[in-house]
Amino acid sequence: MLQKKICLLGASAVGKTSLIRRFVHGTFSEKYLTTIGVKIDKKTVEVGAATVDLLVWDIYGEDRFQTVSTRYLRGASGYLLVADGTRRQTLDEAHALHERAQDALGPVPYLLLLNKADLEQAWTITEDQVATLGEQGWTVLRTSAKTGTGVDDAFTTLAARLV
Amino acid sequence: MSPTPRDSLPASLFSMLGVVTYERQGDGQYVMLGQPPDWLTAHWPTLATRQPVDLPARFLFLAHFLEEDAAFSDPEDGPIHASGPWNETSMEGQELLLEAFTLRLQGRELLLIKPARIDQDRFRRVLQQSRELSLEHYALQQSIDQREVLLHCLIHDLSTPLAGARSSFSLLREDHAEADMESDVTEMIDLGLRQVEKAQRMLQELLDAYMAATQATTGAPDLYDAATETLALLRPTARERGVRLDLDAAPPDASGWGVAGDRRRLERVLFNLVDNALRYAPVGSTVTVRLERDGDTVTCQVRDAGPGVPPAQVPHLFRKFRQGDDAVGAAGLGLYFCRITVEGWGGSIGYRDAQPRGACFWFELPAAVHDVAS
Repeated sequence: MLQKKICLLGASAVGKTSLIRRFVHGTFSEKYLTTIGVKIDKKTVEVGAATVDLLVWDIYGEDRFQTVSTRYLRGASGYLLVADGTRRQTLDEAHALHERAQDALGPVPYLLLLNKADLEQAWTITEDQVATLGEQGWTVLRTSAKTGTGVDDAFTTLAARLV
Repeated sequence: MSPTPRDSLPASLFSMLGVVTYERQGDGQYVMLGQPPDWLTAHWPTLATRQPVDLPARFLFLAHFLEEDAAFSDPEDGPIHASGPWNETSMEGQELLLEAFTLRLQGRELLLIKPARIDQDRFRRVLQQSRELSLEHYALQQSIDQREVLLHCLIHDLSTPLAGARSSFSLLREDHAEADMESDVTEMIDLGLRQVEKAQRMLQELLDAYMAATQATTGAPDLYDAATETLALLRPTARERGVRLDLDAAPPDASGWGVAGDRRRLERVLFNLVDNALRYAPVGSTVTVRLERDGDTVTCQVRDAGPGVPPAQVPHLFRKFRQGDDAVGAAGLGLYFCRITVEGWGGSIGYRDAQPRGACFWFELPAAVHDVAS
């Protein structure tokens, strides 16, 4: 069985922990609890004929209070960048983290998740911005840890790119 | 559990400090040295043993950390390699924040694990609160931005028809004056014109108050010039009301009358105070603007010989949407605008009774370090 380490990266409060909880445990909590350090969860997924053990690293969010240490990224096969659709600047922060992740890991697979799709009417990230990212070769998926929309798809899409 | 003589002292010391020490064996298993610290016994009793344990199999994070330690450890990292904090769920389901260190000493590979710092809980609370505040601040900012758009749409949408109505009333008045129409028709036209002007003034106050609350300071305007300009602008109004306007100030010296602020809003502050004074000044009296410089502070006083402000109203003068009993003001934002503008520039504003009678509104501002010219 393949075992792959993937990391979730993004600004604080974009929903990284909630996405992992939804994916691994199928649960969601409205309460925001900031993550300190990292936490690892494990989930087995089927990708075509292959079975992959995903080791999902939930890395604390980056903001003015905490900077992500790239040492947590070592050995990762890919990563999910997470931005909050209702906060445009989290997309800029995802860009910055992406550059650091590429420096640390090289050209490994990644996806951009625009989370909080259940609040789409309050989004400040525009269709044009998403389209531009698509033109730049980014794969952008809309997710909602609250409703579960797009969550499994996001993890399995990344897993498929790792095998 | 008796300590082994070889490791007893340092490992027991570490244990007392809440650190558990393991030594890596040739087969990749780990053996605990010294006594287990309390937290280990409480949360992972099966690991609080001198029997070899497979720590990487028990803790996913450690597996990666130790693998990385073996792969990436180099002399530049120094003798100790720290994992950084990680969360681990204990056997009874409690989440603990731990931190690990590897240490190579005299050919032995040691692994030290301890709960992350004692003040970690406090750090988490502060971080949580800070981030929650950041989120609230962002939501508030968004709400302000939406109001800004709404306000500008409102002002724009109302200004255009008001300007049209004012022009129409003005033309009508000219026509009727030429045609020598009945006085009650002229009165109605004048009334309409005054109402439109009042509505325009209210819009201006709204815009001023908003700008004062949101715009940054951009310069060091000359208060003497601003007062001269403002008085020139209000002189026709003063003449119409039979009031004299006077600027009482020593001519600018070498240091000038530069103050903290920006010219446009400074003139609005002066305009509001002088216009206010003109409304209450009796016919035949004088409204005086007096400027004084005292060291690093410049003071401006606007005095009239009107009835003054009733003492009960003085504490509320500079509040938002405040209007006097006679409600001759507009939206009740004029003095509020003055206050938040002056305070925003590091100054202060106030009111006192003038002697022998009348009102005296004053504000003081920090003098600019450099005058406008420089």
